[in-house]
Amino acid sequence: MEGDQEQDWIRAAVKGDLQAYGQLVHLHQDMVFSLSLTLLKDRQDAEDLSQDVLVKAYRMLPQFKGLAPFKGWLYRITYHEGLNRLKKIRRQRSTLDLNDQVGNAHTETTGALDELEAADKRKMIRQALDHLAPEDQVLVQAYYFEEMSIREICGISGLSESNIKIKLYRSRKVLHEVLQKAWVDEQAR
Amino acid sequence: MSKPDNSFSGGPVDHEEKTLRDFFRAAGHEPAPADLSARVLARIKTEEKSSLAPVRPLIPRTGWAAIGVLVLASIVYAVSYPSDGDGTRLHEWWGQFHVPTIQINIPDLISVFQFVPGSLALLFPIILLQLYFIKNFYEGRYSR
Repeated sequence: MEGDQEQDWIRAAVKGDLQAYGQLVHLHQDMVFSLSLTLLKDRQDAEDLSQDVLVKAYRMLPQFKGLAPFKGWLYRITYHEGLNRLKKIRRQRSTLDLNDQVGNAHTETTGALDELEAADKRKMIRQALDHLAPEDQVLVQAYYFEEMSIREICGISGLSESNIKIKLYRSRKVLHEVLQKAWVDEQAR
Repeated sequence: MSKPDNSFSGGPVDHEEKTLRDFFRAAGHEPAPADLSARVLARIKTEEKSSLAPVRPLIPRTGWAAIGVLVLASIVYAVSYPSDGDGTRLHEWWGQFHVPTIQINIPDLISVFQFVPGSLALLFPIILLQLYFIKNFYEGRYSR
């Protein structure tokens, strides 16, 4: 049902209906922003990237064939744009230690206890993800956050299934270890 | 901070997989700024307006058509001129018009050192005029 609604919005947006595109943006903006933040580590950079990606997606919408889910298509655009932006930023700030920015940019809370807990978990995840290469972070995000299949991730990243499985296996080991340690530290406080 | 839904106590791969998946699920997405969709839509609207603005070309279509006709006519005239120099009807017809000619007497001993600066002095105002037209064209294009 939700998929049908999404298809309707896509068809309308292709015809220039901005309101329909607004609905699509609203539906997927958190995913785009999360991935942008995972890659760039800076809130402002992530906002800029998300905006650019969502504008670009609107321009490219007539090229969307609908063979794969819209979410995956948008994820692929964000993934490639994000990696390009990351390379650009690294070139510009070659001496900047991106790790310094982790922890102070991701603690936005809305006041509700649930959101506070979720924000703490997100912070732990981001810190754990920093132990992985950017490309692996994206794979983990796609697999665990977006719950995409290995085949879908193949389409996005261009990597083979076996390669993705190996990368996910290694990433899982690292994340598990880091999160376990973080959890023990949290309990010790 | 409350205890996560799952501990990270190690175990089989399936358990690790489930633990991580549940933890990611509980954490959820990083919420995008509240005004992100409004900013995206505003930018699309602005870009659409600027892309829809009509741009007047430097040389209009009729201008290019006229240039094409002139070039074609010159080629036809040149090709149709017979090698014996007698001329065809086309050349006879053209010959009845008295086109004013300009006589320029170039001294026989003009040197390269005089010719190059002289040519540049003649070309310079033309280049300036072209730059003026190009500048006006681009300013007009982006100010819309």
